[in-house]
Amino acid sequence: MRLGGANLRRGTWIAAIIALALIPPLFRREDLLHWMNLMFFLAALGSAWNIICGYGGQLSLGHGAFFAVGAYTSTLLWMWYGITPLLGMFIGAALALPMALMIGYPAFRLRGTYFTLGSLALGSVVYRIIVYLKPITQGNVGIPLWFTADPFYLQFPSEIGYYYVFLAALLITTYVSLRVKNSWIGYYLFAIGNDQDAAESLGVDSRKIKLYALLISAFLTAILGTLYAQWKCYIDPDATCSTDFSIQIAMIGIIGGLGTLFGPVVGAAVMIAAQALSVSFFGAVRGGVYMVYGILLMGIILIRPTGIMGVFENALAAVRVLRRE
Amino acid sequence: MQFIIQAIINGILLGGLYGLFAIGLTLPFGVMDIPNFAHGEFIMLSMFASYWLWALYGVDPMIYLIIAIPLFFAIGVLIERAILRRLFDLRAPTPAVLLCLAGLSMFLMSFALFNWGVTWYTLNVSYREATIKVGDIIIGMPNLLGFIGAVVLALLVMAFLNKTFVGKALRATFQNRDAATLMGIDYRRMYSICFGLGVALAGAAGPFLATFYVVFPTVGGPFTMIAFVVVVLGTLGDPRGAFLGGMIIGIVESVITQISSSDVAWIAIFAIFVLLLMFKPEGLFGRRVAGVVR
Repeated sequence: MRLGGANLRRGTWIAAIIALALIPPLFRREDLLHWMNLMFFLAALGSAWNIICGYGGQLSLGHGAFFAVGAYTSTLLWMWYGITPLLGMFIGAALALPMALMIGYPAFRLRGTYFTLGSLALGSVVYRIIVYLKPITQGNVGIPLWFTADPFYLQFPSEIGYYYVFLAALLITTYVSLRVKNSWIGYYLFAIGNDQDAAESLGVDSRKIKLYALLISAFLTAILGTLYAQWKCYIDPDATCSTDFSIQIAMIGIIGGLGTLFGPVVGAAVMIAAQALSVSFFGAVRGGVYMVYGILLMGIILIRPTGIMGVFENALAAVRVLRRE
Repeated sequence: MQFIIQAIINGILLGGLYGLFAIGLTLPFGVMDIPNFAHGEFIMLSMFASYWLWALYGVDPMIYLIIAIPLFFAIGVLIERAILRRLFDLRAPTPAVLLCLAGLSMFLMSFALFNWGVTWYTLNVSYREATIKVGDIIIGMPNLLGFIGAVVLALLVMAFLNKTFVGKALRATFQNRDAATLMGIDYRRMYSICFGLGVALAGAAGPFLATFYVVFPTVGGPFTMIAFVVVVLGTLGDPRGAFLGGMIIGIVESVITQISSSDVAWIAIFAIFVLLLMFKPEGLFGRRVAGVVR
């Protein structure tokens, strides 16, 4: 077997996965693992968001809606009918699809920023529906979940179990995202993102392609909602579908650079660092964290509209040029 | 039946102010193709400014209004210069520009939350509880004042757009930026004026809203959302349409809140938005050319 090209790339991947899988038994520290879990979770969210926004150039500020549907559906099915979230998460994800269609189908026919407006409105209307259905969803109070520590209900006695769940979630979203990127959907998406008129003149049905990407993205986001609920054991509308949370998802994607594969991981790490910094500066006062996020988001976009990952890519390209010379 | 008429009247009065700040959104949205996600946050800031001026120095909100308009115009121009112009110069992708404004909105809202907390402030001016009775209908004095103010300001904006040179240049830029540039209009200056005007109208709506609404840090988000629906309903870039759309949405919200709840009213407004996108994305007064709304 020759070492190089595709084999080398596959080898790097396998080595990286093994190294990540070995972290919990080597470093048995709950706090470290907790931060790692948060990073994997946020990176997976950003990666799912990236499928529609990074590749297709369609900014969504309402991914919290899909997240909330995933989290609430599996939780309510579990608490009311005893259905395991292992099954419930797919039901929740299936429910996120018609919601995505409701906004995507009319908005993708139009040019401009209608999809962004629609997604923003979708997030806020899901919030209001959760508040309105108070007898079922407990409204703003939120639902405390049972803690069973039973893997059959996607719950574990320590962070180690969750570590593998979120690592798997990140790997699966990254894999799906890579597959989308390198499939005909990905090529069409990039073409649409670059120049929609040119793509359409070559026979690309831009509305259909954008819808496919949005459906994949919404499905993955809803599944992550279920994982989050089983991890935190508490869900409320503020944490799942507030506009702030939706912008936070978008931030992970844009900090790491739009349309990049590993960008979301970088984005998630930056977000967690910013969160830790703001807590140490302002304490846990309401608004403190989001104030820092807001400044960070504006600052990064004003300095580098294409995200931090763009810096790395430029550096890599420079190294490659130097080597060649 | 009488309470429905009452709700419709309240809706029209509130809708006037919706129309006013929606004009402030529709102008930059139409001219620059950039929806200002921080629009509601400027309304919130203006509401807080009028509350604090009244609470600390006893300044009447209507006197503050005279300062608010130039102040928020300046803020708008500053933000356009500092953020939007830079991003246009860097040829930033549109999603990045939108996210930057979303970041601004997030910052302003959490700034207010951080400083003023999760508290409701009530601006108790002397005429807050005053009412006028017409038959069985009760009209709140601050609501009526807000509606009159909104109509006057909206008429002034339309006169500015139709009669003055700058206003005409602004409309020309909206219709065709390249042609306007060829006629010697500096479109970047128009962008600044346009964005400043939009923020100024958000600032102008603040003191009126503060006299009958409660003031709290997260009050802006719903206003932004309402403004977007109104803008699409009344056709992008059309101030008349925005004003009329504002009144329609005001009536819908008021009547449904009266017979059901504010959450249902919100769901209805969202339904209107989705139906608009589906069947009439060009709004009440627009035309559609090959999928492009304009």
